[in-house]
Amino acid sequence: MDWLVANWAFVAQLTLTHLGIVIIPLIVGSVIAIAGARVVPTRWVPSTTAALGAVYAIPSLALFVTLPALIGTDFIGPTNVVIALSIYVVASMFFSARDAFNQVPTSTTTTATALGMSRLQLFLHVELPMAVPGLITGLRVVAASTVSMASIGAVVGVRNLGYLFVDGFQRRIPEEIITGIGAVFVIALVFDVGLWLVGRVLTPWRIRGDARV
Amino acid sequence: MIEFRHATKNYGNVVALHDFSATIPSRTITVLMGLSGSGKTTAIRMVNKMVLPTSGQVLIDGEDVATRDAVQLRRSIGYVMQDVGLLPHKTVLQNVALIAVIAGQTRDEAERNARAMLSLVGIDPASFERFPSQLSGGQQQRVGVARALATKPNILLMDEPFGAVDPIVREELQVELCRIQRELGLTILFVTHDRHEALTIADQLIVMSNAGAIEQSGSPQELTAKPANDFVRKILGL
Amino acid sequence: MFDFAELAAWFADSTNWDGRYGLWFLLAEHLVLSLGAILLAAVVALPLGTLIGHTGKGEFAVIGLGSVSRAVPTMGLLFALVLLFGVEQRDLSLILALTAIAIPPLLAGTFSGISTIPWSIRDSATAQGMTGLQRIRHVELPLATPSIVGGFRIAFIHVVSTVVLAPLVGLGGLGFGIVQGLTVRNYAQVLASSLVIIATTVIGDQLLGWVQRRTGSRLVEHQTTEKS
Repeated sequence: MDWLVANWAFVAQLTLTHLGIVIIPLIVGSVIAIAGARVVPTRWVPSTTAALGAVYAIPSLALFVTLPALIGTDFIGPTNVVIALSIYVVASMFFSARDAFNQVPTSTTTTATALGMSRLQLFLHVELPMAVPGLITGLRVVAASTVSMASIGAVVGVRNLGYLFVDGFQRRIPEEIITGIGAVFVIALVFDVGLWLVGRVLTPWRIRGDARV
Repeated sequence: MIEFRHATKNYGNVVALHDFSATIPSRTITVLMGLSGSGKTTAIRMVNKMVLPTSGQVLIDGEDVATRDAVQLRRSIGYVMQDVGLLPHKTVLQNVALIAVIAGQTRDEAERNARAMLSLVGIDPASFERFPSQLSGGQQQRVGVARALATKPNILLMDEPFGAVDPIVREELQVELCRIQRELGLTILFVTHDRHEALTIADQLIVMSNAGAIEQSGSPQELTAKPANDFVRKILGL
Repeated sequence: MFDFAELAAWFADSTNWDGRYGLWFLLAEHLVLSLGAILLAAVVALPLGTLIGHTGKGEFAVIGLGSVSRAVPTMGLLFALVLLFGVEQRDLSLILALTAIAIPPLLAGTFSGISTIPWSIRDSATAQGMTGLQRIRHVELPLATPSIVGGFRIAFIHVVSTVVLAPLVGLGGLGFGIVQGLTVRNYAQVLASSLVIIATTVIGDQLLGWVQRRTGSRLVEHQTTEKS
């Protein structure tokens, strides 16, 4: 860990960039996915799901370098990466969000509507809160993937924690790479635990259940 | 003949069955009747070693089941439960024939026997190639019984088999069961909490309360004429 | 905006398809590496997942492994292994990394497929007199097949994506065009290679999806109806 101690400030800087690259896609992507999951008409869902599924399969590096041709961003630099990561978040969260909303019992929503709630009130006061457990689970999964996938951005010039891998490999410094892996892992863990806590706070009515599928 | 001798089952601190002793005569229908927690499911599952007694014994024709190999024992006893548990990825015919094939019968022989059992329980041959989800609840139960009979057992264990079926079909199935029992000379141990069902099919009726305590045991006529206590009176609706 | 004529010209140029670093070879190399690693991982993960699903013990390990594996950066893992085992052994390191990446989804798919089989089906199979192995063969594995194929699908996506990074440690695969193209600023090469990669992954994923649906349609959903 001498390497980390010696290069502490540098790693911190890379960490900040990494967080920036990751937070925007997570927030923007989730909002789009959650809204989309609720709003997309049922007859369009199969094709949307199929399209998103296909996009999700695309390797991140390939997407990072294909987007420039499609939307005119630079090949090198963070813009690509942020957009690509957002797309992955949307793809992944769309599935989770649909599952989460489908699990809200129809008896609950029907009753609420019968009591006179508008569509928007229903969404904000009933569906969304009850979908929170499923949404949080989906978010935890997607956050971990996004944090680790973002490191590949270093190949297209993003100065985040992935840079520790590239640089460490070129200069043959294993400690640098290990530090990078550790840092990414810790950040992913922080997101995971943080989201879990948020979930607990938002759903005080839930009794801790089995983790079984 | 099946015999329970002081059969007891504890799960940690929970007593599921306590000191249960009873004799189930051959070639009859014996009904274990009680509410939830009376230990009736635990007792019946001891017969085919799905539950192992903490103490006490279960004997079949004088032989302690503990000495018998579980797999062979189960193949010689039919078991039917409320959720049926038919394999969704196999046809009705395959479901009934499967265990016979596993036990070593040839496919032809097993299928011939399966067809016979399915006809016996009243399933139309047109349904033999269907999948379980294409059948109604009552039909699925019939297939479950056919499957239990496929290995030609002498003993049939039935744990609330008709519980999920609607009342009219349920009565039909009860009548069919009595017919099949007489035709094949089966020893049936039947668990239920439905009083009408118990009184209709039982040759011997054992009323159980907490963890296997026997409140009364005898023929349905005896119990309805002379209920031993309030519990029996209430549970039989007298 | 990007010059698509340049891209078309790149594809039309046969030298880009032939030879050790031509698209055909790289594609074959990419697929062989990916499928080889997935098969290796399956040899470990499928029996293990079956055992854990069948016995019900060790479930926490599967779930824990799943969460942990998502958080580990594949590029870091690959680079670390190559440095660890030495550059001469980098093929080995790549295979090791790929196998490690493929195991968690295969394990999860197998375990989840078996553990979500309704208890009544498993119980009645035992009560019929099936041995554990017979239950695995006739009941658990057939019913778990769609989920297992789903695991292969996810493993395929992750492994193929990681092989894209292989040129960064001096190995081959379709990522070569991207890495070299970025270095020499030949963006036609970059885009062309990435399009081939995208086509390969999407086609493979769709194919596996089709298989998954086919194996699922033979298994009719377990339902009890109450009408007579």
